[in-house]
Amino acid sequence: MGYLVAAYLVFWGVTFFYVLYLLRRQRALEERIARLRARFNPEEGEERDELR
Amino acid sequence: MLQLERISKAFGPRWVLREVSFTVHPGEIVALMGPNGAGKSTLLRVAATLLRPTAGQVRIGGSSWPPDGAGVRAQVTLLGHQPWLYPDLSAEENLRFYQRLYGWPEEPGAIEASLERMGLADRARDPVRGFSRGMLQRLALARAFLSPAPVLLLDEPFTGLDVLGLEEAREVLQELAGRGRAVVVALHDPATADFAHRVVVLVGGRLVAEGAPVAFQEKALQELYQAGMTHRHRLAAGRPARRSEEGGSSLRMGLSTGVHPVPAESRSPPGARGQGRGLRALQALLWKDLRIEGRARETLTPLLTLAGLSLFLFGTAFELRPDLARSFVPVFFWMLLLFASSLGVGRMMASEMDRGTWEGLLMVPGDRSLLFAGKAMVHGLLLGLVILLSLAAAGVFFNLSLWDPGILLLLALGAIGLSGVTTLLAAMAMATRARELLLPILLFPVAAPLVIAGIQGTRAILEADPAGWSVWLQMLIAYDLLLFAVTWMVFEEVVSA
Amino acid sequence: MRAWERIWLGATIALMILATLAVFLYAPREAKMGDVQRIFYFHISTAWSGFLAFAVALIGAIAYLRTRSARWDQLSHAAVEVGLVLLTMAIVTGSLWARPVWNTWWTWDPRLTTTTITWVVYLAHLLLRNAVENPETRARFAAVYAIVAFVTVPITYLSARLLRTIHPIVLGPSVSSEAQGQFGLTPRMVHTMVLSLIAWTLLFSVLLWMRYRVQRAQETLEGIEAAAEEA
Repeated sequence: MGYLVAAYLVFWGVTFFYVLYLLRRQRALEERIARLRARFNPEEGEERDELR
Repeated sequence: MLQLERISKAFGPRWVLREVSFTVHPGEIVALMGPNGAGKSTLLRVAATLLRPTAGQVRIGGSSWPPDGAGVRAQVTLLGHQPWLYPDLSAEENLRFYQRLYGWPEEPGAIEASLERMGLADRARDPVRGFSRGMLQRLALARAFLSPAPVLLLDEPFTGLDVLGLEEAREVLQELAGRGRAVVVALHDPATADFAHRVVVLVGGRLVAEGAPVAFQEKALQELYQAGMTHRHRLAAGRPARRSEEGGSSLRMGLSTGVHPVPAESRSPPGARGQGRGLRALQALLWKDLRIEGRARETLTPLLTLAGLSLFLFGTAFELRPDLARSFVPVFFWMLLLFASSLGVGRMMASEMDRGTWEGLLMVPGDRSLLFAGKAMVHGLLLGLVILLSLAAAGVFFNLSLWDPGILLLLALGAIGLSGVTTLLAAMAMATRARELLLPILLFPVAAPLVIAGIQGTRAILEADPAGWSVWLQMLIAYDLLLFAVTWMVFEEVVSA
Repeated sequence: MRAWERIWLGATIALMILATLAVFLYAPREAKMGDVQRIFYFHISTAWSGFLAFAVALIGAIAYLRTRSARWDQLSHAAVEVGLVLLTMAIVTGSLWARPVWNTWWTWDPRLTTTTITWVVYLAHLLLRNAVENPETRARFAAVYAIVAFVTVPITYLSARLLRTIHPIVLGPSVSSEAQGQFGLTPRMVHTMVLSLIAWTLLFSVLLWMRYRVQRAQETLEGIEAAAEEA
């Protein structure tokens, strides 16, 4: 029984932490992109779409 | 003759060339000028098919790159940053090698004549190792002189030449243009550009001006470069397609170019075509590698020494009983094969890249899989030699005869499979930051099934189990075929940027 | 979040929970091995999604070489990473199952060996990416290696069938009489298995999508930084 629980903890735990890691990275990246965009071409809205 | 159409090149997010277009006619010499980092070399490399343009096309005599790199390559000769010479071959041997590799017509006396033209006739038989920078450059120019290709691209061809050599080189280029070649020369010094018919100025990857050489003395160029720089500063991340109105604003300077296009000499397309040419190129590759290995012994001798040392250490460390030896010795041999292939193939590929000759090989007209075949064959031979000599030594150290046709067959198959896949992976690994370190990391997991099958098959023979042997033999053959098919298909992708 | 994304995500979470419940409550207790056999539902599902991920990586690699569009490279890269995570789970939980059933954490059985080879190959793939600076070369080399690496996948699949193995073959006819931990499937087991497979395939698609978006954001950022440097 212990092995069974351990295995399902692995399934759910790894998935959970991987998702968390991906979400955090996405957020950090998007924040940096927004900051850089605001600094370099605040008026060029068109450019933004293109770089997306 | 040579048409560059809106060539753009980005290295990842960085644009190095933006919509560069110009045409070079037969008999015309165009000087490509620009500050450091303007994109001159990149443009020449794109035109020579060593780099794939991000957008735009190179057209030469009915072929367009992309996609037809082979067709364009067959009509172009590039003299790059590095002279592409093998230090262990003589001047004459170097030229002969390229003549065969590129499928240029082998007219008697042609090599001697081109060496003579560049003042190297008396050094023809000396190994290139002892040549000075200027002499290397002369020899590289002699190769360009030997080439029948209708388009010549030269990247700073006067580097390292003395005053005399400079004058000779300029004469040679004029002579080649006079014979109907289209010549593009990348230069940084305006004083050396006066022999050109036309000057094209690149700044920040854009063509900003073109005209007669008289219009581009030092002062004018300085202003252009300055203007180009400030111009570049105004640009943010714009892509060339959306900036075409700016790209088109190049200046036209000076008078008409005063070129009178010379019709190209009527000649058959460079070299023989098809099967015969490929075979000759393959021969040239094998001959070159074996000759260099024979003279420098930079791979075989160290590998054999290493094999001997490992045999000795393994033998003394274990003092195996015969039954244990049957189990362990196969492991030793297949690991030796794996390490020898990683080290040996890696070394040979690394020296091509260190010498800068790899690009010269990539300029082979036609299918570059030829290089794969040539390299894999040389590597297979090398591995075979290492294994044969180690097998002989094993009889002494382990008191175990491994001279069995079944074992030899397995090892031969292993050497063949490994030489192929290692050649492919080495071509990648040696172009990365990690180089030698990365090759085993890439190779070992892919080669693991092959090595496992080899070990088990060898063991089966030592334990007199022919049925087991044939199962592993089949697996080895299947894996060899699979790997060869895959590596053959993707090799071109590894080497063509 | 758009509507279809919401449905997709919701369905995945619901199915994952449902599958977990089915594993513990609906599926019958296996006679010989007992409860520990319940590992097998998710073990197979993760292994399956892992290999599916490598197939996606292969498709992305081929498409990249054909089109030279960075999107395919990003997809291929995302698939390799997600595939590695999934395969890691499959290997670790397989080991947790082997301990009570085979009485060892690990054995050099063909199926285990070849799966490990596949795992290491794709790890090498990530190291290769890491070692190349020029994004175009990186994408090209990664695509080539993804194609070469995929050669190891069919070998893994075939190994358990062709070679003597103690690994059970639950799906499809078993040819090995030496398999230890072999068992027959009852209808309830089949239902649970199918549900798990669907749930994990969906979860894989979600993970792939998320990882792909991270990769796109990453490369957009690199683009802006390079443009900023140039300006």
